[in-house]
Amino acid sequence: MALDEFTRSHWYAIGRLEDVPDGGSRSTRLLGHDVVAERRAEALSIRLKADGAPLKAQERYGHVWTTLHDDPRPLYDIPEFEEKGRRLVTAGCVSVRCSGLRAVENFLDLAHFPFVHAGILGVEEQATVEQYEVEPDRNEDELWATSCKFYQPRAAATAESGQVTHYKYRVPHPFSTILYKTCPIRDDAWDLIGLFIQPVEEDLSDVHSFVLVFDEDNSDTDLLHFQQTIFLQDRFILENQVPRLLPLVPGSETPTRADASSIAYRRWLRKKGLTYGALPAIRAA
Amino acid sequence: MEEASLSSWTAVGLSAAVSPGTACRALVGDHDLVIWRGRDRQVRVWENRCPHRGMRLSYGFVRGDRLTCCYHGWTYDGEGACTLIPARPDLAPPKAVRIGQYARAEHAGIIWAASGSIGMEAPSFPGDWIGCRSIAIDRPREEVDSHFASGRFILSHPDQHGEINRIACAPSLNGDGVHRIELHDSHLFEAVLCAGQPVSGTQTMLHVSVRPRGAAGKHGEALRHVSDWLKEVRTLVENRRAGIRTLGVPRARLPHILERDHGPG
Amino acid sequence: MKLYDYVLSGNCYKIRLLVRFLEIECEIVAVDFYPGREHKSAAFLGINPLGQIPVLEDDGLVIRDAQAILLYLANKYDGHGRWWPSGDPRLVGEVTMWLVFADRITATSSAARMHDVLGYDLDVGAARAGARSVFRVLEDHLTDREFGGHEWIAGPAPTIADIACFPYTALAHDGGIDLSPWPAIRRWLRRFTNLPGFFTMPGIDHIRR
Ligand SMILES: N[C@@H](CCC(=O)N[C@@H](CS)C(=O)NCC(=O)O)C(=O)O
Ligand code: FES
Ligand SMILES: [Fe+2]
Repeated sequence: MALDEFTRSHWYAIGRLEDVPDGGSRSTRLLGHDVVAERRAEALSIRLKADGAPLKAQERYGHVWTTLHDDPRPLYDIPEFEEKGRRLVTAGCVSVRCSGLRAVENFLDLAHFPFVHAGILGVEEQATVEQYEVEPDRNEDELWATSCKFYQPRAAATAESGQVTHYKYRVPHPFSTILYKTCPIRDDAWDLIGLFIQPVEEDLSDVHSFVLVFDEDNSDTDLLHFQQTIFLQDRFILENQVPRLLPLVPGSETPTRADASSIAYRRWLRKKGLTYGALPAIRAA
Repeated sequence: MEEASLSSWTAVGLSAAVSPGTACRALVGDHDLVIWRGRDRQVRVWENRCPHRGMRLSYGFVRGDRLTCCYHGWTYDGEGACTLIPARPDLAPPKAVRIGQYARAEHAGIIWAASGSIGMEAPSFPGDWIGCRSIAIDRPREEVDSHFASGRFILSHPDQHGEINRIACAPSLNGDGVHRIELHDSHLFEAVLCAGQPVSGTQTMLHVSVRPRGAAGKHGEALRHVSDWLKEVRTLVENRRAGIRTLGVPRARLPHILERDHGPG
Repeated sequence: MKLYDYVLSGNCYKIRLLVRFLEIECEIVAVDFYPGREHKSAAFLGINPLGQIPVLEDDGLVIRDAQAILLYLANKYDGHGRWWPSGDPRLVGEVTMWLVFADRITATSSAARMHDVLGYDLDVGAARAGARSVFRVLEDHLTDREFGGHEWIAGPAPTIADIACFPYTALAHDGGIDLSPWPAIRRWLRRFTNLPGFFTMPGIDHIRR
């Protein structure tokens, strides 16, 4: 499958900063190509393994990023990374046998909390998803879902009791997504959790994730364990969705009003001409 | 596994293995199936895919006579119609949502499935059968079948005097992977039925039932006897291609099945 | 008492299960196993020179290896001798045999999972093939047990052998191994999830349903 221009034009995280220490290297795979990242005398360089062609590289948000494109669109801003007092925990990369698009869609979804994260992010007795808003931003470069709320028995590693958690979701990139949720210890702030997905192949994804929160009670390792617990619960679902690629043909799955973000995400991908990791729609056309 | 189209009745599990309130998965070539049984004791065989977002339904849970998907809790009645969307309990589930169904039947302690359009009755086997076990053999069904057809499997069984008799297995009933062995003088059982599920080009599940003879208290012994025999069948089929010689089982341990004395030929 | 623990480790989960079943108190020390490889840090190697979790500290005693810890806890804290039936030599033999067997499940099924989930560089084909042959042995054993009217790996009730074999069997699919060829194993897993006090870990929630 030829890589579509939209997918190709982005930056992708391919590891944490710690994974490419000075004098070290990391071999991985991006969009079907083997790539090698290495650091010599503090300088990071990334190249294609096949012919040694150099690739663009940058370090941001605790990760090493690259792109296959000569003139990529700029990597999106996450202003919260500059805020004082937040703690960043990078949770490492977890491989999942599915299209990265399936992983993004799952991340945007509130309705699965009571079933997949029962007792932590939801309870079956309160499974109703209230209406929320989903819209692309002005240039249609990003998708935002806002005014989401959901009852959660243990919303974060910090939380001791249940609460209604408010959420915002941001999709700044077809293979990245960030959520903003009520911070249990600060009324005026949001905690961030995000996925930077590295599509290894169309149906194989390395999922890098991070937690960027205000938290004074938990150790980094506690936050890490919490994040990994949640993601491994999702991983089981993602590995058992059929087909592995995201169907963009309307009618092949059954969205309802509770799936507003999924509908909007798929529509946005179609509009952008994305085919990588997706099923026909555009391909057939 | 192109042939595994479920265009004929195929064994997909033992009845006893899908107890009321449980669901499990079965593969027949490209067909991914969920088999489940409600409290009404009816078994259902469906396409293993939730119409909502594609999750495999075999990981769902059965409540009453309904199957609930483990991803968002969409709940389906026995006909495969959606009855509940927990995220929107106010919403009438779309009528168009209906899960692909397979024809299914239960005979001889075995669950049989076929594609929905099959015009034939499922095979039926008179008498009282008890499911013995299902056993995975890492060879395609044709190969398992040809072993049965060759008469190479010998089932040994004691008669009422404790004498060991041996019977060579009969060929398939009709080439559909079902093999019935009748034993007239066995003390333990009257017949053994072996039905092969072609899982993939490299694996067969053999679902095996027994018509035991004698008191119910003796059934465990009969089942264990057949199960031990099946382990030897498995070894024989799998090792043949690998060129490993099957070792004879010591007499003292009541041999069950051995390849015929002249070996696997 | 203190357990060096990682939430995604089936071996640590064995210990947490027994701690719950015995209703004893145990402090959990979260180890950054992945991605931080804290179990290979100098500080942790001082606790376990093998660089592995789980490790239990109790009364100044430091024990490594999940099966050894299960034995220790059951001997010390299970007054009824249910989980480790030490009074019956036959059962001692059988339970020990399956405790050792549990390490084979770790060596195969867990290795496949480490590869598939965390990207460990190992021969995943060999790991899965190994797991399949190990599961076949367990399947045949549990099938025989059922013919005799028994539900557990050894003896009339669950023992630490069941605890030791449970996690990486239940987690097999994380390493790309589908359990449908082994129905007796699936029945046993379901029974295990119905034990009083049972709780799940990520990746095995589906078995309960
Ligand atoms: N036989 C040991 C094996 C423990 C084991 O494999 N632990 C894994 C985590 S679940 C580990 O620490 N692996 C790191 C290593 O072996 O280097 C036991 O049962 O505790
Ligand atoms: S995929 Fe089954 S309920 Fe959503
Ligand atoms: Fe989730």
